[in-house]
Amino acid sequence: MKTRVVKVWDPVVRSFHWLLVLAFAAAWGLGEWGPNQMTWHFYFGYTVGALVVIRLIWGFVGTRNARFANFLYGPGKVVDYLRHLPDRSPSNWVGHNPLGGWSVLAMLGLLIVQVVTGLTADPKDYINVGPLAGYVPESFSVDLAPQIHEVVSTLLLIVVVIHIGAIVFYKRWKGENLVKPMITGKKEVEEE
Amino acid sequence: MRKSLLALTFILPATAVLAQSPEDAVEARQGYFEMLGAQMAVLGPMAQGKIDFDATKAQIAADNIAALAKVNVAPLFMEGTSTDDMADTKAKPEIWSNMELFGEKATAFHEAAAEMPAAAGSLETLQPAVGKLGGTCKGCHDEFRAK
Repeated sequence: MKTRVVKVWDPVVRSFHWLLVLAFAAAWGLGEWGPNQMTWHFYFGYTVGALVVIRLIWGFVGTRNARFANFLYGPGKVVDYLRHLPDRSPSNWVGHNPLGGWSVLAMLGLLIVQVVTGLTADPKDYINVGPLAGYVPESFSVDLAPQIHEVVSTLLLIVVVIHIGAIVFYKRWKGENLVKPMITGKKEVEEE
Repeated sequence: MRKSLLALTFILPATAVLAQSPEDAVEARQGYFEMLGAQMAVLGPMAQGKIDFDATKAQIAADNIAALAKVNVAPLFMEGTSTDDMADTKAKPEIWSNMELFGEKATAFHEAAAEMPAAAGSLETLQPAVGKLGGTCKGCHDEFRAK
């Protein structure tokens, strides 16, 4: 079987991915188990926010596989991809596959909600008040924002577990290593 | 100043004693935390540099916090006033089912509050004291205040 090596992920996408892993893990852990004075949770939250903004911009002006227009597929393609998902062979897909593309969007969407509700939350402890809490109605900052922040933190954890589960599934079931390309930027695919 | 504080220490227990219906208890309870919040609304932003440090204002707020922390709020937490029983409260039923932990959280607040008057003199001493005090707010909210 002939294979060829293709470039899939540019340095911006890879840096974004791994920095997000670090910042998200730190923010999540500090939020759950960190000290009551949440200064570091805030810093990592800001970092997540900055990374997401960069990724959104890159989704419009970045390299081919980084652009939303190129990895958000219609329902037909998604169904088609899903049909072949159980196959015990590599997808050989270059870039985000039709299913993965939408999961990227879902993750980014949840992260945006999480950053916005974090910035605007006022948990009434007077030391962990989001810097933008004063700019939104109190009904939002005091009630809604902390509620959403809590729920979305759980949703994000679930999404991360699914994401890692998918990586393991591709490796074990389909024999396709998706981690290495995210590190080196290069992926080995079978020739047509 | 002393007079107003004196009045405060009388009015609050009086309110507590009068709180007979669950609705009254919740109203008094929320009033109590509003008063705490009003002091923290001065100290928090000052400690975080969002407003200029003002020793006089800081001292008043710190003294008020210490005085408020001395109020026996047991009557305000009367049975049957949790989120299970009423709509207009954020007091979780765990307060009553885990009184021991609730008491620990209250003690942490009392200790941090008692340190406030001596810490209000300078920004350097105020900052860690407010951090510790606000931390006791969060510590209790995490367990016992509904989101």
